[in-house]
Amino acid sequence: MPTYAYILVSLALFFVGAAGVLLRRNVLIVLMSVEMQLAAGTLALLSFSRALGDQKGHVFAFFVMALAAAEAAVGLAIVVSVFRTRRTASLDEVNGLKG
Amino acid sequence: MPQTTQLFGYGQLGFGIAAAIIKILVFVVLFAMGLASLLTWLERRQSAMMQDRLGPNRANLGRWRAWGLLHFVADALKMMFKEDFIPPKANRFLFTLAPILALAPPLIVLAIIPFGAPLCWGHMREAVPLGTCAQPVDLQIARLDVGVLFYFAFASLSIYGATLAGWASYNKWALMGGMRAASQMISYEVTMGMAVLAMFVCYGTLEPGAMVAQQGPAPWQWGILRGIPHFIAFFLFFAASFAETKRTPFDIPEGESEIVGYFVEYSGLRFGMFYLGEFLEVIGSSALMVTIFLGGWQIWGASVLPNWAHVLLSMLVWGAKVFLFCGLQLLVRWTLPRFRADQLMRLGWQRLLPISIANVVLAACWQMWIH
Amino acid sequence: MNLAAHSASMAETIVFAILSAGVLVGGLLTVTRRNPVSAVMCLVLTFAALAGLFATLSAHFLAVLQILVYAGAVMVLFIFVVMMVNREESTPIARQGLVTRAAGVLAAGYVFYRVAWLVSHERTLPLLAASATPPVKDFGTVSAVGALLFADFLFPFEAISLLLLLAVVGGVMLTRHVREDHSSRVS
Repeated sequence: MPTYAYILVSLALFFVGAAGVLLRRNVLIVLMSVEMQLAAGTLALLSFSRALGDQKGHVFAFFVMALAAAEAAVGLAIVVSVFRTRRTASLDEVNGLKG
Repeated sequence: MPQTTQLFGYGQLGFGIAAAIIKILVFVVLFAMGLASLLTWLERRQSAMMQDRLGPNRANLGRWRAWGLLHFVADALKMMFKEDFIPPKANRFLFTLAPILALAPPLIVLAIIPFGAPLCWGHMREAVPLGTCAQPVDLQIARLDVGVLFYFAFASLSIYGATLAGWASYNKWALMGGMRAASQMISYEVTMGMAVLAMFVCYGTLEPGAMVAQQGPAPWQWGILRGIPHFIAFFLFFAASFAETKRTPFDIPEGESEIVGYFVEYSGLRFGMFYLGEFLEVIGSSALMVTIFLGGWQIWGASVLPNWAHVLLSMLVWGAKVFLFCGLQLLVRWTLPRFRADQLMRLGWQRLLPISIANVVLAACWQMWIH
Repeated sequence: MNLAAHSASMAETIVFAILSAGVLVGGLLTVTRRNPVSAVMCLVLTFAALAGLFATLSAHFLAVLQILVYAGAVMVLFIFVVMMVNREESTPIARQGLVTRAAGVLAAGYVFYRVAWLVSHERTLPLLAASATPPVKDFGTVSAVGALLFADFLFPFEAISLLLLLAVVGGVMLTRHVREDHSSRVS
């Protein structure tokens, strides 16, 4: 398949992820949407990597994956510790710093 | 019909598809499923012998009894006709999905296991020395460059089977079992990967077929006896993959005597899928260990025989090794008591993982010292 | 010859259609689920289909890593936390500040529309029209990507491993139980 088809899929997935981040209030689903956006970025990197015949895109995709794993680990740790102190997983209820 | 020969000649698309379907039928459906259902009977029979009981020995076909060998057929029939119960408050979709996710990954991972010497297309009646065949048909469903990583990727998906079963059942014991399963499997996966990393350093490839080709038929040519780190890697891998199959002594997700386990609410054929999946995991991990550490299908001097005989003998040798390994796993399962949850975690993270990381460093040094 | 080539390209199109449908449907279901466990499973579907797409781009190593890292490890972590924090939402989308957020989504949608339009408009560009695997030897294999990682990108590789270590330590520190009685063993 030509590269633009992959790019369109990647764009659509990124948009779905962005909508999830903006609309949903459950912090877990927001984190999942962020993961989705990162994965969409990976797809774009890999398809351009094939179009250019350059494998550096694969290396960058590898780094994005490692970054996403680190982000998930820290993000989930924050979710767990917030849940322990405030008994909630909704972003709207975590507003202690709001003036 | 020129088009047919074009499509089904050696190296064409149709030939590849036909060969793959035949390999899947022979290897996955006949061998793996057959051995898995046989193991369900063998486990009960072997445990009975170890505990001085008789065990299931009554199933028969008229006068043909064969030590009750047909019990697995009787069990399968019984499971099919049992009530398929779904708890009223369970999440129906996930409850249905869980057994499929427990059964499918152990079947998928078998795709990368080489189970016999390559068949030489068009020269099957002649003696073909290894590696000289012009048109080989590899007895391996998928020859992937990523090889063993494919195994790990799909084996890691079987966590969902256990975890979802625990969550969807709407039962706190099942939930506990599911959470225990998730934490246990994700912990031991790390050790498993680290242990096999030492072997990657040694072979310089991830592809199981190439690994078997680098080993020889004699035990001192096997991967396990390449050196000290490889010997250690074998035992680390064995322990970790035992934990992945969630069988005693690592059966805290099931824990028959405390929480009945993540599949407590399952009955009938759905329970049968979990049961079969467990034995398929045993077969899969045995097959992978035989491939990486124990020389795979390699057999002495059989390449002077006609190619078909060589292939057949190599498959038999491979099958015998896998069968013995499964038997060893059953033996361990009925010998050791169950760990406590905290002991299990301490063993995984504080003992096996540091040893396996040190082992990778040792293997790298070993490789540099040899060359 | 033509028959085989034609059926191969047909098969390629069908595979691409199935996989991208899996990606997008999984993604849409993920952001619309009320039950977080269902959302996790839909995201696993997305990632599995995405791994398939990677494989069609001849990025085999990354495809396997996608399943191994995302589907096998990250999502299991998610499911584990969902089970601990298990709360069904009454309203998945809260009313509070809805107007601003809807405006944000509309803006994002407009950006998406513009870029998608641009990409499909310029699809004859060599970069966007390329459809074949590049004639690079061992493209996307473990050894090729690994050689690049350990030769040209050694410093970023070490940096990312440090980042992962920090994430591990940070995760442990954030979720550690602070024991009330200090007489008991410090773990």
